[in-house]
Amino acid sequence: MIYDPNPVAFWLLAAMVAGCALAVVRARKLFHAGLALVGTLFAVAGLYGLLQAWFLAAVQVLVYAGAIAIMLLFAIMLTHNMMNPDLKSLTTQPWTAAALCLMLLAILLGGTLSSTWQTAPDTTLSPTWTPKCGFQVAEAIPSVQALGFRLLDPFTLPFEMVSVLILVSLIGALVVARRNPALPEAPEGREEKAP
Amino acid sequence: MSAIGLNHFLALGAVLFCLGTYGVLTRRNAIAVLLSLELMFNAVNLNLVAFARFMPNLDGVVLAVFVIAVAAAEATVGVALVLSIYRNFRHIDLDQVDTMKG
Repeated sequence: MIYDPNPVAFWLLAAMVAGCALAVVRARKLFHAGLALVGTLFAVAGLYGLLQAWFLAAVQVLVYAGAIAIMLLFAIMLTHNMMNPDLKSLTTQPWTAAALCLMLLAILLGGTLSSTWQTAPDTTLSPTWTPKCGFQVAEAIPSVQALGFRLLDPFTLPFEMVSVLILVSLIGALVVARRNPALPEAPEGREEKAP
Repeated sequence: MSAIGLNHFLALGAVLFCLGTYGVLTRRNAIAVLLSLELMFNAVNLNLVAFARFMPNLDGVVLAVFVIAVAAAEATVGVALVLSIYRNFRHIDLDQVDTMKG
């Protein structure tokens, strides 16, 4: 049978995603935008759970809401007077951007909703596929076990490349953010650029 | 209430992506732009997972894992750049960081 998620859960999570995302892009205090981003990430994790991607829901909470969002909040607190309602300087050209984004939304929605996607019942989830090591992957829904085998059997090279990428970005971030003693730093206090 | 299908998730992904685009276009603060970028990543991931569940094919979930890893790398480098810019300019307003403007 075609997968049929709970409508009440879907609409609740969808409302939370849309509301929090709106707060991310419209909040007047940057710190509130960061907190709203955490809410959005949790709601998206709930949607992953609704789609029975349990591993991805856990990764979303751990990596996104737990690490990336907290790092961004740290960056906000390091660079910004946290509760400063920086109204004027936080957004620019809202109406032009809103019109552009509404046009983009119309195009995307028109494209997706007018298409007929080839959905399939659960029993067709790669029934013949077995990993090379010979273990049988029992469940039809995307289980953690099946995902692990998938990562190591056909996706070995991307998996290793991602670890190299993370190492490179770690070193790069250290190099970029390190204080360079040869260069003078800008003085404290906000420097206004002459018009 | 009608049954929730693939199109519902795709529409939600489109809404999320457009909100992220709006944030990237309107925000001046570099960190606010990074926050909006995360919204766009999540929209794409939501689409991938929805396709993976409804097709059904596990590869979408694998790709979403890779997207999360790349997003982590992007956020790391982005925050490092923001801190470096802040150290040199004492602000992170993107429209005022124009030293190299011709």
